[in-house]
Amino acid sequence: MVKKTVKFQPHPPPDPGRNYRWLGWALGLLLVAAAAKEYLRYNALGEAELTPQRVAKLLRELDELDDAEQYVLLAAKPGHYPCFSCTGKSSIFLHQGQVWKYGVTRKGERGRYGNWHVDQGLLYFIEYTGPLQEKLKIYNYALLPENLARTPPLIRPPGNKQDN
Amino acid sequence: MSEKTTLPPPRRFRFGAIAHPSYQAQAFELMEVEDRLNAAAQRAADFPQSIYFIPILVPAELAPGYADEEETSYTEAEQQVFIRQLVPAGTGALTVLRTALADLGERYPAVAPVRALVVREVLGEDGR
Repeated sequence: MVKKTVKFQPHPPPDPGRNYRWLGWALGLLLVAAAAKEYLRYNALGEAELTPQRVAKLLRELDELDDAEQYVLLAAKPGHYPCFSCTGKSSIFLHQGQVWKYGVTRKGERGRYGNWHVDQGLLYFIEYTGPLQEKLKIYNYALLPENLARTPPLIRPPGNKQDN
Repeated sequence: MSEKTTLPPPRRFRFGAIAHPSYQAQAFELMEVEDRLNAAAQRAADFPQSIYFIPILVPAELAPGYADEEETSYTEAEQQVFIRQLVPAGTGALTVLRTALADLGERYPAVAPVRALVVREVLGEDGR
C-alpha cells in the first residue's frame, strides 16, 4: 500500500488591501470602456469586441486589399524612357526588362488596362495583391542592383513621381 | 562626312502584355515578333494605322479574374485594331492573335491584310 504524504500548507497572512483591489480593477475597466467606446464594446459574457462600425470598416478595407493589384511596368525594349525621378534630365536609358514603375490598381477600375503602357513601350507584370507592398517596393528600388549601377542611383523608379 | 540615320519603321503593330512574372520570357519574345511585323508592314499598302495586341498571360487558376478584360475590336474612324485576350494554357499568344484577326477580318475587310501578313511572317501558312 502506498502512503500519500500531504504537506501542511498554512494560509498566507491576510492582505489588508485585498478587499479593495477589485474596486480598482472595476474602475480601470470602466475607464478603458469609456475611452474605447468608439471602437470596442463588451458583449453579454463581458468579452471585448469591435463595434459594428469598426468591423464594417475593417471588412471594407480588406475588400479593397483583395481587389487591388500590385504591378510593375518594365521596359519592353532597350531605349530612352521618361524619367520623373532623375535630376537634371527628363529621360533615362533602360535596358529590356528594367523597372520603370511600381504601382497599384484596383480591380474594376475603369481604364485599368488601357493601351497607354503599350504606347510607351512598357510591359505590365502582375506581381501580387495588396497595396502596402507598393510602398516597400518603391522605397527598396533604391537598393536594386540595376539602380545601384547608375551614377547617381535614383531615389525611386523612373516612372514613379512620388513615394506614394 | 555625312552620317546615315536609319529611322525605325512606324510602329503599326503595338504589342504589349498583361502578364504574370512566370510568363516574362514569352512576353519579351513577343517584342521581337512586333519588330519583325513592323518591318514587314512597311511594304504593305492599305493597312490599318495601329494594331494593338495585349495578350493576358496568367496561370489558369487566375484566368477567370481577367475574363472581363477581354476585348476584340476594330474602330473604322481610327483604323485601329484592338485585341486584348486571355491566352489559354497550352496555347501560344500568336495563335490567339491569329484567331482574333480571323474573327475581325470576317466583319471588317480592312483587317484581312493584317491577318494575311501575320500568317505569312510569323505563323506560316498552316497558321501554327
